[in-house]
Amino acid sequence: MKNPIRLLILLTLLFASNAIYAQQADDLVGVWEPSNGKVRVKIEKLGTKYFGRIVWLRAPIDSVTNKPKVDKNNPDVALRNVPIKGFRLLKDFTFKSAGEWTEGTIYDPENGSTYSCTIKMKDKNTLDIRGYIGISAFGRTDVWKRLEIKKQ
Amino acid sequence: MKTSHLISFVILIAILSFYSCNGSGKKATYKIEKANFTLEAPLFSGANSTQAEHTLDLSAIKKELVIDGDEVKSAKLTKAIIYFQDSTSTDLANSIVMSLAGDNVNMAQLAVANPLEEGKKEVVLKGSSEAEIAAFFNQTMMYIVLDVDLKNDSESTLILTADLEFELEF
Amino acid sequence: MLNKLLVLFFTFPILAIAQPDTTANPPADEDFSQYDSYNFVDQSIKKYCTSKVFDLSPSKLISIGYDFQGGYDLTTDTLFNPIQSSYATQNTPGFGSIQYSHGLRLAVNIPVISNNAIIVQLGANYAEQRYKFNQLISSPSNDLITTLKDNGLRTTGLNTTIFKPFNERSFLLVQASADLSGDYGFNSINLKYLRSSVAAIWGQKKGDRKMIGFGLSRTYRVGEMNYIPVFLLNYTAPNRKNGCEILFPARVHYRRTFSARSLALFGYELEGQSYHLGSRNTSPALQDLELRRGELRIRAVYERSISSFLWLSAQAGFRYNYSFEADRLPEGKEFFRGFFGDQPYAMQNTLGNTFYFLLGVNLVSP
Repeated sequence: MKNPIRLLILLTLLFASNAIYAQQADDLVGVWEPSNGKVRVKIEKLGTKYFGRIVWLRAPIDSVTNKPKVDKNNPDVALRNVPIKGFRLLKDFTFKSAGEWTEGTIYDPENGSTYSCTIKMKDKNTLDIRGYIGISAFGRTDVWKRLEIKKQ
Repeated sequence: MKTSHLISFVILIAILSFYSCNGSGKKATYKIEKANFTLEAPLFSGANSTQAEHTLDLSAIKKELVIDGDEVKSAKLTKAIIYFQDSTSTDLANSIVMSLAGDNVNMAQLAVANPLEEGKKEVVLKGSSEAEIAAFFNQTMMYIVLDVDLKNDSESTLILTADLEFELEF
Repeated sequence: MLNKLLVLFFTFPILAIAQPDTTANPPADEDFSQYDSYNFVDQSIKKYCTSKVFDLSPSKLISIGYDFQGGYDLTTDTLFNPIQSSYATQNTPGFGSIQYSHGLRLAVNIPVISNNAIIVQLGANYAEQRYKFNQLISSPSNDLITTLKDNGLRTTGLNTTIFKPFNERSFLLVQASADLSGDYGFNSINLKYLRSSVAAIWGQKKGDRKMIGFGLSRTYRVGEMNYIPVFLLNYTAPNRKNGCEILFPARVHYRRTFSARSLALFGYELEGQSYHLGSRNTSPALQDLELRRGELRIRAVYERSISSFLWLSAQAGFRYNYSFEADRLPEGKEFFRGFFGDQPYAMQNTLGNTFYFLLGVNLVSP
């Protein structure tokens, strides 16, 4: 490292890769729709981790109660009044490597179950979201598509 | 041979007893007073998030209980009251959900009030008795996150404060 | 010095990125109504229907169960001895009083591919039926009774289920299995007697609460091989309390949902296999004999989550015998009798009816 130019080049590369790393991590941020089209989920960064909130529901009113949907299937009875709109469906994802976020969970309000979850970005507008039980083999992958404001 | 089996068995029981009885079992109340939350205007109807960073300091509790090295084994929310500041009241919101988050701990939903009783300055949240939150108290810092579902758009900043109490067991 | 400065300058962003972003606060100034007008960035999106309707009883990834049937009688026919071309003296019509029959049931189903466009599930299953006879009343050396008493019956199989949606409405469901059923032990397995079943259903998903389909199956559900049309209907009422799960004629159930973690089913299931006999009991009378066991189980099933994805399943009901006849299949070669064929049975047996229960613990699927 006696040659400062060589060091400069090396550190420039390091800096550049570092910036790319941060950008890749934040590629997850945005509004996404699961394949069933029932909700829209906004993924945002909180601290160092990524979380996804339901920001839109196709059917926001519960057909039985005639009131806004709440998390009625939560196994924790005390939390069954939490509104589904605004609910954090995806929690605690950390950026692992290019196009992959792991160590998170996904919650299914239909049955009140929380699954382990990994997210893989197939392309910048498509996510493979795999929820599983214990080991990845016992799971299911759903394809989520990116949304953006584009008035029809 | 039989003696060695007996010794192994006794050691095993001793190890199991140690692990099952690990921890002092001592309890303490941890209070967070006047945690500040600000929802900056303009605000839109729907679930708006705000968070307060809280630095944890259990040294006084540990000193009082003489349990210097022990970690928190269990924690339970025993009180959560949210206060609407200035001229605001519960009329502004449909519901409030409180969660805890941390950099090394998974987020936990902790309490909810839905719907809110109209015309009040304070809201008592209903806390979960099942949420696993002990790990938060073994960190140095945690975020208290509030999701406030607003009824209408608003041009005014909304300020809330919270008084929380947790029962900790070491 | 220059080097040190450069290092400091360029490593600073690394440190900054590695720090928790403690100031990150989700913006509160968010117009939620805007999400109505969001559109897909990639417009070429193909959407598919899912394989489930709301509140469908959970599918099982791993299941361990114990089946028990109360006492009943078995009357067996005369058994012809093909080697001696005569009716062996010990194989005159027999009568056995069965105190109970019982057995273990294991199944594993792994979704090897599971995404929006296709689900491919591979599974393995094992079921056994052990017979505990009271003191035999007559013909104690009847070979069928002897092998049931000594060896019982078992089925070991592999299966696959493929769900292929074509769009938001249409789908194809294919189920295939290869089962080895008989009185064999694990050191007397002969793959020559592998029996295969297959069903293909073309269906329509009509919203989140209804799916319907029609198809054809090659099945051993009533004991002997048969080709029958099948009808699928999974339905949940708007109140989300009542529904039905029908794969006619194999099973028909009314479903009552108590919560997302508990439900009950009332209805029936047809259960059966063709069992190759004579694997361990080498009596000539049992040679190439296939026992066509088919039964109707009218039942109530209660399923509930005991811990997260671990579910308890308890079912009880009445087991009605549909078939306990036997066919002689030289070299295991199958034939088709169907509902209207007049090929005679090698043995016509009568099995009494009884109550039964089945207790199981299941790891259920997302």
